[in-house]
Amino acid sequence: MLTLVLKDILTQKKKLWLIVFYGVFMHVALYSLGDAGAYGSATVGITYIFVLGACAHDDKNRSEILLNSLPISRNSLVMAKYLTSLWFLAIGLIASTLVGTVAHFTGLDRGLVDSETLGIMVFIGLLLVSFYYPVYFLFGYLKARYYHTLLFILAIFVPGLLATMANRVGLPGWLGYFLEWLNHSHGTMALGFIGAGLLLFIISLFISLKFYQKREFA
Amino acid sequence: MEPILEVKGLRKSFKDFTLQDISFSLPRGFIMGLIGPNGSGKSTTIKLIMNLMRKEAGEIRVCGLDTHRHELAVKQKIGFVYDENHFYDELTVLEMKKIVAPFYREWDEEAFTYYVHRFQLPVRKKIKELSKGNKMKFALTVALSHHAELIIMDEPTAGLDPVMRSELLEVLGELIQDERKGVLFSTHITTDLDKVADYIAMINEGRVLFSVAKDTLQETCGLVKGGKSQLTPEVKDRLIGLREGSFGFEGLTTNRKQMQDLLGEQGIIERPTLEEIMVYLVRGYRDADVGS
Repeated sequence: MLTLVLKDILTQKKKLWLIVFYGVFMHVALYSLGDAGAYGSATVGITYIFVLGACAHDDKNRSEILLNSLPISRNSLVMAKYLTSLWFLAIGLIASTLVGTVAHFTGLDRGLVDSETLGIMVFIGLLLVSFYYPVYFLFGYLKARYYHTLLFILAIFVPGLLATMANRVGLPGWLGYFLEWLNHSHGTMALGFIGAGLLLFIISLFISLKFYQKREFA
Repeated sequence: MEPILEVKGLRKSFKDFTLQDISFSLPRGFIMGLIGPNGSGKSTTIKLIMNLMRKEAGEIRVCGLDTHRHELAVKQKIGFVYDENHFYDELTVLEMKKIVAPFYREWDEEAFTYYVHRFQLPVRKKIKELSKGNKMKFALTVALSHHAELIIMDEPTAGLDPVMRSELLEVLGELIQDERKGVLFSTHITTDLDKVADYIAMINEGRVLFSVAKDTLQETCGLVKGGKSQLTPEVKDRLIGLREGSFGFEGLTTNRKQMQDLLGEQGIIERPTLEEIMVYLVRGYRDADVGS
């Protein structure tokens, strides 16, 4: 399975040097979203580009036909893709954190990553992957292309929009109490985000395993 | 010894096409050509054998193993070459080999190196920089480097120049010296099969028209030519894909002896090429469709 992860990295090796550029671009372009928004969006942006890139390479030359002709189970192919996404998420986290930290120490108005922000970064990254892969494994890259564009826009902008709306309109009572409780413990909040993200990730994996068993390569 | 490939009652439906009751069998030590016009169902049959599509009915066995229940074990025994490149463009030949090799328990590095040298493959070049012929040679190299027992080739010679096609056929001829192996070779370039195939299965409009030894086929079939006076109703009834001109007629018989008896000494019955058999059968099939 690790060979398949290596394949997804090797096919995109040309793009790897662009990671820092993407990080800087996202931090600058989404400056107005605040620390959590910018760190989160930069992470999601980088994860998105590489996860989608790996799927696009499988689609080019219809390489899924090659993979499915090798002695590998379809389950292994799906699990390898999920594993690859964790690797790219880790790269996104590191790059986003590095860029933000450099910005902080060069005197720009950017805070350092705290546990809460880290939790949000992981959560949004896992959320994106969890919603993208089942549709990709069911329909393939080409048919899922409009869906993933929409998903990316949602992943980048919806968290910021929701935060703004919550500030203006106010939150329902129970949600306010819940968030206040989480706010008392940044560690708990971070773990909550990561836990929720991982739960979605695992559910998504099981859905994808089921979908991919039914895929046909005409 | 069980056949290396056995397909029984295979069925798969699409919106506008149905592959039905596909059955044929390939004994070990032989090359089988799968022929038929474009869209007849050759590639679909191969995709079903490779489990790239799900069959609705029927059974496929490779080396006696059910391809659905023993999918991974079966794929260890299959080497495949498809009509187009499915390798990753961005990777070099060596990188691609490193990705594929770990999946095969019996990967043979020596065999890989042998074929790379034999085909003069530029291993440090990216796949996208290889010519069409070299891409096919690379696919063949991979197929021959893990002691596969069954080699499945889907239109491997399409778009290749005659030199490359002949090189490929030469390798297949050598490969089949090992009597435990078998080759299923789908193509509509039937001249390739005239040279190397032992068995021929023909598919048309989703059905197998025949699956027999090539020599038997060419001995029993005949290309009948004659003048108008020889075209009696009896002869006419027994000819497939009949074409009448102002001077005479041409058609295919699947019973050479019977036709010779009908025509007597004046009848000309030639040994048909595979291409002629295919063309006349498909034409006959269409004529029957139009008539019905």
